[in-house]
Amino acid sequence: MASNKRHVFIPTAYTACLIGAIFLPVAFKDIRYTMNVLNFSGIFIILTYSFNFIHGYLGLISIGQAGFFAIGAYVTAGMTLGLGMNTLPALLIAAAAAALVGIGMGFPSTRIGGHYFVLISLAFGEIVRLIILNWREVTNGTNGLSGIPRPALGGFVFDSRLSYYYLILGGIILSALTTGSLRRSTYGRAMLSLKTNELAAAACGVRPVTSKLINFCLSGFFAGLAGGLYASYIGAISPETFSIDLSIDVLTMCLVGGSGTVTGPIVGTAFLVMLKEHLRFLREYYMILYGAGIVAVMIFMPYGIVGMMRKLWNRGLFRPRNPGRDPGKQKS
Amino acid sequence: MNLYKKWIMDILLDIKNLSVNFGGLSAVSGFNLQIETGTVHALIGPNGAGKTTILNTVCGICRPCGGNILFDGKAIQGCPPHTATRLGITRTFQQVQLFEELDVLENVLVARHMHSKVNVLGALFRTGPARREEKQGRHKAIEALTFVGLKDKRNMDTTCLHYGEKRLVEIARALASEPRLMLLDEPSAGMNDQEIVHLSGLIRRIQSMGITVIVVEHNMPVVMTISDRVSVIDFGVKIAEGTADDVRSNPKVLEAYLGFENHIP
Repeated sequence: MASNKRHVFIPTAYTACLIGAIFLPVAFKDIRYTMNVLNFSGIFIILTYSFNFIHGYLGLISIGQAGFFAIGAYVTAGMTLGLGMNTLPALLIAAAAAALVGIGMGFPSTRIGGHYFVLISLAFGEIVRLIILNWREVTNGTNGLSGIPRPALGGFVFDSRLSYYYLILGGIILSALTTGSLRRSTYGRAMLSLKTNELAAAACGVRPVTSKLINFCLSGFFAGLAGGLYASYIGAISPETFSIDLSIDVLTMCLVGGSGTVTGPIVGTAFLVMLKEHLRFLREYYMILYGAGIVAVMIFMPYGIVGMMRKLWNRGLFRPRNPGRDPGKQKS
Repeated sequence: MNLYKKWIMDILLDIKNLSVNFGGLSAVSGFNLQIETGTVHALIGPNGAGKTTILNTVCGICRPCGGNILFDGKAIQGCPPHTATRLGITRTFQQVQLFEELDVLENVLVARHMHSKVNVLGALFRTGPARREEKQGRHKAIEALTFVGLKDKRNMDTTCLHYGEKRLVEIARALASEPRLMLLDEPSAGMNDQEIVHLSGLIRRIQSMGITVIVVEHNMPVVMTISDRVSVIDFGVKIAEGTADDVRSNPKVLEAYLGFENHIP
């Protein structure tokens, strides 16, 4: 049966990619630039997963993820610099703080429709940025905060780019596993039912507010985690990074990769980062082709790269052709 | 109805003096209805009479302007839909409302969500209770799909089903939430004769499971075969009530449907 092939192929593919990801930096570990690109991409991937929760599961567009990213970064900085805490627990506290704020931001959104949610998210991102900019006593305003320490586990400190790579990889695996686990759970189904048809979902007993708040909480958590990892990696943060451009980049990466999929954020981020790197020779004109590339993907692959591959798989394109097979046979 | 009768017939749903206005238009006014537990009660009437509006107020989609709705003695008018479902009222819709992103089994599993007792973290980390609950939920969902005859198609995309099958999935989904009262809104719409016969049998079997059913129907033969009682509504007001045979020859009903004295086939 075709389903058996799929059930064997996908875990094998995932394992192969995981092994590839584990051994990838060995080739580049001495090249600072490449390691930096890998690490920043990795942090971006985790941030893109946070957008994936909101858009993939609830169908809402958020352009405020930079706000959660900022909260994660600044809370990590505050915990480590201000309270002298170890970075690893600080990261978790920062992620939890962002998750709580996610619930707070989610509350007004449970009452209003999708188009207005975009505005709320926009306002949220900007409010966070302005608070950071002006609350000088705590955040040091435009001067930013520096000297944020790297995490330490036992005696081991993640002070090299290589070691940080594996920390980020752990974060990516956590995000991917959470996304996949949610999809197979009853909460994931409840959220998807809300996305498709909120009235019918409520008629099935799904509580819209509860499901949405859980989703915003998860989204905030991973965006905050990404922010904390970012702060600790770079060591110094300032408000300009956390602008709406970042939020829009995240949205783009998720949609290009495939919103609502488990691997979409990874594929989308990797694709766009590679596109940007290969267009470097154009210097400031790279944006023209970069933008054109995004538009091309959205026209030909509106469900994203992973989304399109999934549709092709369902149409039987990747399976071996069997002449005796009924083309109308059910997908299993 | 004298007190003795009320005592021996258990009233599950008691609608008193229900009024619903949309803007200046009165969709339902002064509507009374009592549904006995374990019966199949049909609501019939011309298009636009207010039947779906009445169902909407019972299941919580619509808030009435006046009147009370008592479900098992508890006032439920104005409750949000998910609360009504969690109290034991489910419904199907006039236009089939399935969830396209989910396959057939998952559609039915959505209705099991309200029976979930594990929290999110348990579900995400797949703890023992979460796995057991998921397994049990699947078992019940497959039971519901087997009941309507769609067990073999449970892993299919909903887009692969034809209209009649989609309606059956909706019924399975409504059953999976273990309701006490099921509201069916024109279930036979879009079905061919064979499917309608199957549907009538299904409704009978649902009744034999102890579930009370309210059916809004236009298809008279179906109404005649399955209903214990029929209420006729026109312009938001009840104009007749009784057994199917009583109603069939009631002159007010004939006038409402046909405009002149005749027989309903």
